Amino acid sequence: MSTFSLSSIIDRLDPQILLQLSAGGQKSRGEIYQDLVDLPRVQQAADSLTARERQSLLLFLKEERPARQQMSRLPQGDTLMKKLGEAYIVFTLRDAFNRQMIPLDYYPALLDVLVRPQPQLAGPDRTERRQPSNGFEAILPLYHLLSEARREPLPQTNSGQIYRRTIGKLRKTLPASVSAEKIDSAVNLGYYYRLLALSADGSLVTTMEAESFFSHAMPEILSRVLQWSLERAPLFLIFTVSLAALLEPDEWLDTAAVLKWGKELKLPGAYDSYTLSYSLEGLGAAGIWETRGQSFGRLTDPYYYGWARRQLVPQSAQAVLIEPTGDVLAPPHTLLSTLWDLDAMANLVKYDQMTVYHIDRSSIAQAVLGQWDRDTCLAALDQMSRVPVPSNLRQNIEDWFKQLTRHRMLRATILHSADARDSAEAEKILHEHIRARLSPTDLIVSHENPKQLFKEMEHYGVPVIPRIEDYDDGEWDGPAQKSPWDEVAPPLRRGLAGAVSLGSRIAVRTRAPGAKTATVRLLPLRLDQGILDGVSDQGEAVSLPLHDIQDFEVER
Amino acid sequence: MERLPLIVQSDRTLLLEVDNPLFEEARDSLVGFAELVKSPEHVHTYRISSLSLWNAVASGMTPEQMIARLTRYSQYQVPQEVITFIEDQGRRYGKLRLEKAPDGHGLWLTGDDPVLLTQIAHQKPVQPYLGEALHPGFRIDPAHRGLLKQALAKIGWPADDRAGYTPGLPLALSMREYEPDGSPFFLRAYQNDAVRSFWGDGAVDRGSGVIVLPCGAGKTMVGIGVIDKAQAHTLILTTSVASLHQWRHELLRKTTLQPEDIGEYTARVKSVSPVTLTTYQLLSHRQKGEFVHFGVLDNHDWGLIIYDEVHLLPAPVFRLTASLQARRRLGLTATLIREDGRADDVFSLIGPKRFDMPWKELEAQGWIAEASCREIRVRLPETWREIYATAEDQDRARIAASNPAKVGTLHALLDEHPDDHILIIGQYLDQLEYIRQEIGAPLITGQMPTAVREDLYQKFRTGEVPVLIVSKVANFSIDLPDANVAIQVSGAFGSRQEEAQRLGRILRPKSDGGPATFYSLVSEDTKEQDFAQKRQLFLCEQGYRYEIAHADDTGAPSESSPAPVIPFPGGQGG
Repeated sequence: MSTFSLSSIIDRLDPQILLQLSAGGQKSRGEIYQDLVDLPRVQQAADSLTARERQSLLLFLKEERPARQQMSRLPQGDTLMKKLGEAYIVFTLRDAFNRQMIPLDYYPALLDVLVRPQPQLAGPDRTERRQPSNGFEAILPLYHLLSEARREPLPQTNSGQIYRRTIGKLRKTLPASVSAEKIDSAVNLGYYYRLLALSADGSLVTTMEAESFFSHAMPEILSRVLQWSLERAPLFLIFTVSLAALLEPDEWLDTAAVLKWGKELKLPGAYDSYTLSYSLEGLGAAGIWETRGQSFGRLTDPYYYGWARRQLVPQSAQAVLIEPTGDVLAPPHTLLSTLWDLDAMANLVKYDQMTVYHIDRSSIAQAVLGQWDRDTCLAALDQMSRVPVPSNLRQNIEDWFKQLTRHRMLRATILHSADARDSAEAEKILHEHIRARLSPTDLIVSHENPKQLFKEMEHYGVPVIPRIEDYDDGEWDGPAQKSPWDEVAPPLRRGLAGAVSLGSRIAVRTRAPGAKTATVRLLPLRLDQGILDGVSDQGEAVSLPLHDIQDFEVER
Repeated sequence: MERLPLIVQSDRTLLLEVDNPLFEEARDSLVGFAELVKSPEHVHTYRISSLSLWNAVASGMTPEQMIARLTRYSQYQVPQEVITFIEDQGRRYGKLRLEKAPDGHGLWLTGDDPVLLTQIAHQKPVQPYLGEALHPGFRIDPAHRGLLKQALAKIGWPADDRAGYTPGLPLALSMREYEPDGSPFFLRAYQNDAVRSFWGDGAVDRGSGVIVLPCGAGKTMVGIGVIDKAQAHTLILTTSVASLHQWRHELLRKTTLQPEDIGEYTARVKSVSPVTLTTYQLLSHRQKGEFVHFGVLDNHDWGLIIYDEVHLLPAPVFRLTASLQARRRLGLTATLIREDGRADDVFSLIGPKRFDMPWKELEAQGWIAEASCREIRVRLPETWREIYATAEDQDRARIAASNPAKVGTLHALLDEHPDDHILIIGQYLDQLEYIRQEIGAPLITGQMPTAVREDLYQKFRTGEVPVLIVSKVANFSIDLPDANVAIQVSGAFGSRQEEAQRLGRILRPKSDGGPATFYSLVSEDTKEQDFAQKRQLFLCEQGYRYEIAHADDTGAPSESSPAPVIPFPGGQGG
């Protein structure tokens, strides 16, 4: 990782420094971030440097990051290091080989001071921006993806991509402007911050990290998204984004002019307009950059107001309105962490200026699955709501929690005996492995070590077939479940098993449903799950369902 | 900074926050071009639709004015797609006009944009109703007037219908200033507003549509106000004979109409008079595939048709209504919810919603009684739980509804309301009969002769009978002003309009100004509890709150606790 957002750096700071920044525990993490990201403060620190120190700092910033040398080796490096360190402009990360880092968030302010003369940044056209919003639209694809993957794992193709139909389903709920590429991009972002993980069956599931990720204020989250999108980007792209942050709201960055300037300065990555466009397209897919024609572009509204200017709508923890109908209205100033909590216990109706959720029994079922209990859920609603939670809804939630936690589907291992006496005997033998008695003939036994159970039963002279069978309606009263073998006549079965064990080549006559009789010559290798596997005379793998086999002959 | 009350969603719903100093101002400002969808406690929802915009433009408002109003009260920037929609739809109205043909033969669909007329001619839904070319435009058969308008609205090009209405045979009448008992009579302000919204200045841009007012708010009075405006022969369609008699009673008390001016067209009496009352049931009655009674009534020259409880309009009457577009049409309802999803057809064939008012607002003004709603979840007795658990799907609703423990709760509630006028309302006759035997109150069902029914209603009105058990026959249009407690013991699945109508039975303002209480008894942990949730939705959307309580399997109050699990046979569950 070679580009860091301030938000990520705060997470990695030495506890002592963090304590210092919090004024001995007086300030919250959010407030520390607010203090540090204050751009006039950064500019002031840069302004206070001498001309040579500024040159050294610019040199430091201009170096290709993997090859970047320690600041102290630069001219005036020690004093520069001291001044910037004291001003919390540069951070030394001990878990990153003591590398000195300047957060991405400081680049616009530093470039504003250090780059003299500045290139002509703005193009001739101007387009008014929308009023600052809450910035939610910038992370909506990620939020929705995580919300869905929290409810139900999202299956992936063999090549590790979400199915197109799943993306189509996700897009149905999202505004039309959210393209499939943006969702793909959100998946990558989710992986990057470990918000998504693979389940045992290869589906995508949301991790607990999401809760912590959404607990940050929106500017911090946007800053983290930028870190992800610029991590492997050439330095010139970071400069381009930083210069775009310096524009007036309605201006467009003249990327051609910036490229020319970058080439003159020999900035790493300032190659040609094609490469620049390609890089900016990537930022566009992540919802960070918008373009106008071939040569103009700028930060999208959420990143301009949220990351560059920090002028988003102020958030509030107690913002939502809960109606007796179960509708929950979350206005734009709802804290993201509140929205994420709400999302765990309510069904989304729509994302819009006012995001609308609905609480009903099915949503409470989701909450139960997400390990929410009644009291925590009601306390959370009380905390997030501007109005008291309506009594009917409160009562319903209580009843739903009770209803939904009264019955649970459990997977258990049952020892079924032919009669009650046998079962009582088994109970004595296996007493320490018995979990509960289900009926006079059925015991729930420990499932951790079945081999041990079989062994103990055998040891006491009560052998059990060492196999755990699946439950089947028709077989519950019978001794054992049917296996695919049962469908095959015993002589044929035994003969095939013998051929397999002896390695005899055989000629098999088969007749599949609706097909003519055919003869296959093969060397049988395995009999499993009702299938005979082998190798034909032509050297090809052959799999024959046993119930298609009419008879066979061993070839001499 | 001043916090503004409105949030404009990109899907064109408007969310208006009640707890805001500018709420009333903003609400009044939206009424002209947005429809009220629901008005729960904290945030009222309005919707901007093509229809609402066309109506607004028809009444003289410009798209710019609408956008300015949204911008004025919106806390956040109005989404561009909403602005574009208003501009686009706003300019569509009036591009096509439906007029009388210049040569006097039929009607004429015309407009100033020849390209639009060509475009319309290529639209499949419209083609069947276009007659020969009549430059610029097409001749229209008057019988196709309603269907053409419906088709044009569906393709997004509404016609400004200037062909006018049949004036109908004239009828001189006026509203009385005093009722026969000497009490003064006048339309309340909102009733006048409703009449004005419907009638306008009598021009062709109004005169058809629906008035939505809560039960007990005096929809009949609005109907009388409109008849007074029309001064023409009027046909009134009602849901039952009892309701028909109430209309007749009110017309005689509140207007100068004489008994001989009012005819009753029912199975028993078939008289057509200047004001004729009939029922939907009779109108949709067929003989040999023909709507015989419709033919008789349609031959009369009516100037106005009133559809009472328009949400119950049967499907055949919809079809018949399509041919009545030359007459003024007024629909009256408390809930424009059709469980069959045909609310759009009410808009197209009767007309758009002309007036609506939040129930809670009328309650605040004292025009309907203050009501509190309570749901009591009654546990099924153990034996009934087993019956319920093993019953077929189709029987479960009835088993849950007929929970005998509800009778215990009923007794407790009757004890709580010793001096009140109580209606016990239910769906299943055997359940109601069981209740009748248990509590000894009279029972009214549809099988009872009308005269006996009306006698019992009258006794209830006078207080001679304080508790009345009624089946669904009393869901609508029964005026029982002093009923102040309703106890619903069973209902039709998840019907929102039925719940609202039943609450409506007790909403008429009480003579002592007292409140009304609506109880709904549902069996706990059954499908009935789920249905109750759905049933309550409309009233919750109108701002009513349901308090929830629990009763045990004897019907006595209990702490909230779902019923026990049925033991697993041979196991240790429980």
